[in-house]
Amino acid sequence: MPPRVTYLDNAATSWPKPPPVAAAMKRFLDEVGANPGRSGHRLSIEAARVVYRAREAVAGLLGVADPMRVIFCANATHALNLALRGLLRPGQHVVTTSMEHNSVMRPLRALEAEGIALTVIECSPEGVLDPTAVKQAVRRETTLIVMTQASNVVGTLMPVREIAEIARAHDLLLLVDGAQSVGALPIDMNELGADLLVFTGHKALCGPTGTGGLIIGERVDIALLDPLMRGGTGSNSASELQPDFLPDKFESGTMNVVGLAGLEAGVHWLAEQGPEALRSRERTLAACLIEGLGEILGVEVRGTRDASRQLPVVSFTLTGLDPAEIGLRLDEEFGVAARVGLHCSPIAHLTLGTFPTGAVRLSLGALSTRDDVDMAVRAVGRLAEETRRRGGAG
Amino acid sequence: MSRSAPSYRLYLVPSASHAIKGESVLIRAGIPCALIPVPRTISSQCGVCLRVELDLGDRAGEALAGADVQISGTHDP
Repeated sequence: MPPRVTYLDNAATSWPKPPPVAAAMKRFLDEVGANPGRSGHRLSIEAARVVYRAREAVAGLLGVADPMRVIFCANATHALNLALRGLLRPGQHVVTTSMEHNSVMRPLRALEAEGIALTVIECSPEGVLDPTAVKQAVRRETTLIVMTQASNVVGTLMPVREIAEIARAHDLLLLVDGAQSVGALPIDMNELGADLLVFTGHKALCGPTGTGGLIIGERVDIALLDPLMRGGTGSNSASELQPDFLPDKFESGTMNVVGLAGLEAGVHWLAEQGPEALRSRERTLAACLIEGLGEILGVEVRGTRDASRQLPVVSFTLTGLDPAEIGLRLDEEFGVAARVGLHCSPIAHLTLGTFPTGAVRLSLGALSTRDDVDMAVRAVGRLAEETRRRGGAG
Repeated sequence: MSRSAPSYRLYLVPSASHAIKGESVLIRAGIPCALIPVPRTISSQCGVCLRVELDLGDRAGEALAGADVQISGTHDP
C-alpha cells in the first residue's frame, strides 16, 4: 500500500482545501450554474451575486474599500500580464528584482524586446533585497517598480513598504506580485503601499485553481491601463467598443464562477481562522522545518533560514544527491510531495547559487501539521544518511 | 377599498456588478429592492437594473450615491 501523502507543495497550490470550498462549488453547480451578467433571470442574477460576494470577500480581507477594484483573472500570471502589458509603453523604464518568478520576468523580457528598458536589482544570496539599490536604479524614464512580496523559492519577505515609499517619492507605480503572500500574511493593501496587487486564489487563499486577480489601487488611472483582452462583458452590449469602467474593462468573457464560489468560501474560511493566527502557526512550523533540515549532515537550507523573515517555503540542497532524485524518492519511499528544480524562477536560483540544478522545496499551508514537518525531516534525514553511506554526502 | 399597485423607480447601472453592488447597498440600508431585466422601452442594454418603490426612490438614490454606486440613469413611471 502506498504511504499516506504528506503534502508539502502548498507554494504550487494549497491542498487539502478547507471543506467549505468544495461544498460552495458543488452548491453553485447544483443550484445556480448560470452565466452572470448575461441575462436577467434569477439564476443569472444569483451567479452575479456569487461573483460580487467573492469580490467583496477578497476586498475585505485586503482592506480594499471598493470591491469593484478587484479584477478577477484566471490566475496570477494572467493578472501580472494584464498589469505589465496594460501599463507599459516603449521608452519607459521598469525596475524589478532578481528574485522574481517567470510570470514577471517573461512578460518583462518580452516587453524589453519591444522597447521597454529594464533594470534587475541583484538580491543577496539569501534572496534579500536592499531598498537603496532600488532607489539608485530609478531614472527619469522610470514609471514602474514590479516585485514579489515573497519569493516562491525560499519565501524571503521583501521590503515592500520601503519600496512603496521610494515609489511614492518618485511618483512611480508599484506592482506587487502577491502570488505567495496574499492569504499567507495579514495584508492591508493601503498600509502595504502597493498600487497594484496581484493575487492567486488557489494558494494561500485556499480556493480552487483557475482563480486569481489584480487589485487596482486608487493612484492608478484606469484610462491608462489597457485591457489584455477585449470582448463580451454583458454590459454596453449595443457598443462594439470595450467598456471603460471597472471591473468590466478588464473582465471580458465568461468568468470562472464556480471557481469564484470556491474562492469566496476559501477566503471566508481564512478570515475565520484569522490571518495573524495562521501566520503565527505556519511560522512556528517553518522554524521547526528549517531547524530540523539544518541539523542533517549534508543538507544546506537556502534563503534566510529565519522563519520570521520568510513564508513557510523552505528550499534545500543535499550534497551528493540531485534534487530531482530527492523529489522522486521522497514521493515514492516516504509519500512526501515536494517540488524540485527551478520552480519557474531561474533568476532566483541564480541569485541563491542553485542554478542550474535547482533545489528541493518544501512548502507548508494552512492545514499542514507538525506531523507533516516531522515526516519530511525524517525522510530527508534517511536519504542523507544513505547518501553518506554510499560516499556521496560531505 | 382597493389598494393601488405600487409604482417603481428604476435605477439603471452600467453592469451586473454594479447592480449587485447596488442591491447590497440597498439591503444594508433597509430599502427593499429587486433586480429586473432592463425594459426594452428604456434601453437596448441586455443587463439588469434596480427597482425600488417610488416612495423610497429618493432614499435609495442617496444610499447608492453615498456608496459610490455608478448609476447611468433613472426612470420613473
